[in-house]
Amino acid sequence: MSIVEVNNAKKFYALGKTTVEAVKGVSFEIEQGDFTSIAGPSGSGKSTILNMIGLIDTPTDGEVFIQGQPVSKLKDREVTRLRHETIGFIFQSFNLIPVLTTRENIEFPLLLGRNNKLTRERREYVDFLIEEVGLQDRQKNRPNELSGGQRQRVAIARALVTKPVIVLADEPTANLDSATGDAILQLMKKVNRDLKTTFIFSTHDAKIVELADHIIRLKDGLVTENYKQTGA
Amino acid sequence: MGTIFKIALRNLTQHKVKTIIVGALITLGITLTFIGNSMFESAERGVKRGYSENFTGDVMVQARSDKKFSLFGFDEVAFGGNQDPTPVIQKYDQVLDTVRKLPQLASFTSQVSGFAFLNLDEKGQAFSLLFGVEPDSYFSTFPSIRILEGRMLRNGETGIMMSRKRLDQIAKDNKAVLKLGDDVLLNSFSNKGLKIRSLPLVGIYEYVVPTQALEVVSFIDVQTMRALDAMTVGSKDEVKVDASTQKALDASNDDFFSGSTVTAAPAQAKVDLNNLLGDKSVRNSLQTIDNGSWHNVLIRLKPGSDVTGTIADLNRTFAASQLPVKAVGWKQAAGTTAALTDVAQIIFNIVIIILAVVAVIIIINTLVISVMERTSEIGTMRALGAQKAFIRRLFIAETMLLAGFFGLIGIAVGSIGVLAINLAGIKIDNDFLQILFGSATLKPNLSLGQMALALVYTFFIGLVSWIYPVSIALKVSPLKAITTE
Repeated sequence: MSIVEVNNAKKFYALGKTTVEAVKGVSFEIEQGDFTSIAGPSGSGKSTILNMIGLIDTPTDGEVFIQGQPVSKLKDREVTRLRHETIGFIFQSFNLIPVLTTRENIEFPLLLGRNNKLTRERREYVDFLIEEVGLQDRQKNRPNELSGGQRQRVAIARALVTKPVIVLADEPTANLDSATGDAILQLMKKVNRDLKTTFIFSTHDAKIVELADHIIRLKDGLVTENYKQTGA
Repeated sequence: MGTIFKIALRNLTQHKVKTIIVGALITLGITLTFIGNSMFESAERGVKRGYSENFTGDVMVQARSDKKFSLFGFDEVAFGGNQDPTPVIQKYDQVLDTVRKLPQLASFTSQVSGFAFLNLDEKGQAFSLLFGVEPDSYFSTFPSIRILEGRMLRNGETGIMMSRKRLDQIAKDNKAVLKLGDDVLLNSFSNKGLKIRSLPLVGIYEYVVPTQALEVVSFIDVQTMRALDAMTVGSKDEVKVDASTQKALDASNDDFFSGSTVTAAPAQAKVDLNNLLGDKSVRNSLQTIDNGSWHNVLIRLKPGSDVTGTIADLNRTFAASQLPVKAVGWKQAAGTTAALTDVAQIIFNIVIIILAVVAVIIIINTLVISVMERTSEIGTMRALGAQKAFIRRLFIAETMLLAGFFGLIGIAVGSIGVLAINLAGIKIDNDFLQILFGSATLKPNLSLGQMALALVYTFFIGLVSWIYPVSIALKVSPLKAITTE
């Protein structure tokens, strides 16, 4: 069964008196454990699709299914709970909470939701993630004391801390230099391989696209290619 | 909850300038409110002490009336003879029986109030508030009078006691010096005509409890007071006249010359000079001073007595016994002068409310700016799975911490201010301010009640301030986390 299914999703925005058709009706499925790239030039609709999959935007028409569940009829509280339990986010601008330290930022999603106790098991998992992203000596630093790469590592650890089945990353390397970007992608790939987490990331960088095993190409709000590749 | 407070606290410390601006405003508001209310609280105590120990007692019994009146008569003073007479207590003996049965009774006295002009011949006239008293019971009920010259008025004696301050004022205003033993001429003019009485000045006094602004009152024997107030035996009675007399009374000037109203006496009738005026009993009763007339019964209770409860009990008993009187507290007994403190406090509270509204608007504005600046942060939290309730709690915690912390500083600064004013003992020279603060020295008290009230204000400001900013924060969607840099 596919973990994500997008069925004829459309997204229109009103811009003054005109309507912008960001996504004109796209359909695709993503399997569990896929390392998926949604690729395309700027304005192709990849961020919009990612937002719809991440339940932070709703399609004007069509439906998005997460683990087989249609999400368009869910209430805000249910959407928030589903997002918390199912999806991890890695933002282009990192979006760390400025007043929290590295460790506190990573722990933050664990303190939301119904089960919000920091148990010993959860602390150990936070330790494991900090070690995985190589930030053991930066645990007590705040975001403004970290480099861009370090911040994105914190964001990756934070996205993984709730053990989500899907991690969404919107241009995760856009604000990083190429070496750091490569390192971040390798890290994501490693987590995908080791934890079987489904990664869906948007990019317009052809070099990064090649790392994905499932590629969905977009142009002008429509899917132009949707294929899987081996050996990535 | 720990995370929420951690984030709230760190946000406050991170945005120091905003926190300090809002905090300073809260501190200033709470400090002013605290000092102001402390001063008014001690003012009320001072006024109460000044009045209840010197004039009003704890409870005053007065005649029932449609209009409100105090120890000094009706609140609306009408000069020129149209002043309504203060109602007299009916069934006085039964009223006294009820008062005497009060278990918490310490002492009581009765009194007649009024005013007159002190005639100073060519040096003019001086207005005088007068209390007609029975000296023994009055001065044992209100022992806070100290005789400076002469002696206390005695029971059954005709005379006047005046305060040093009043005599000094007359000397200053009218250039007239009144000395002990001088005859004081009092004129009173009411709807029953002009009354003139001459009384010897038997004593010059001052109050032990400072009530300088009220030392315009002079004490005279009650019988003279009744005469000046025209409280005669007949004044309470309705005069019944026969039909022909009523017709004559109702007649106009023209009727007297038309021949039908007045009939001429027969020419040969003999005139009995002794009975020329006919029955004079009504006229006589209108000229006989009513020895049993009193305006008020002033009651002092044993220390620690429940004054409000006593007033309620008395009124229940009066109603049950169908006595046309009512018991009132010291404030109503004191009349408009004591109400000045209330008025001033209301004005002060209005000013404080305006200040609070301004403060709340500034706090709301600052918090709204803070929400806008933190759109990405709020959106990120929502994207990561924070429910709206979490965001709401976060902002409530922030405003409450802000208001609570700076409110406590305000209370601390206010307390220091109150103590400093108390230690400095600022003298008040202005009579109006003396009435207002009930004392010649400004000595506000530090009270737990005022601290608790200031805390309530603080948390009220906190509560009101978060509503709008939080409503904006709750509208921030996770999408904003991505679209806002």
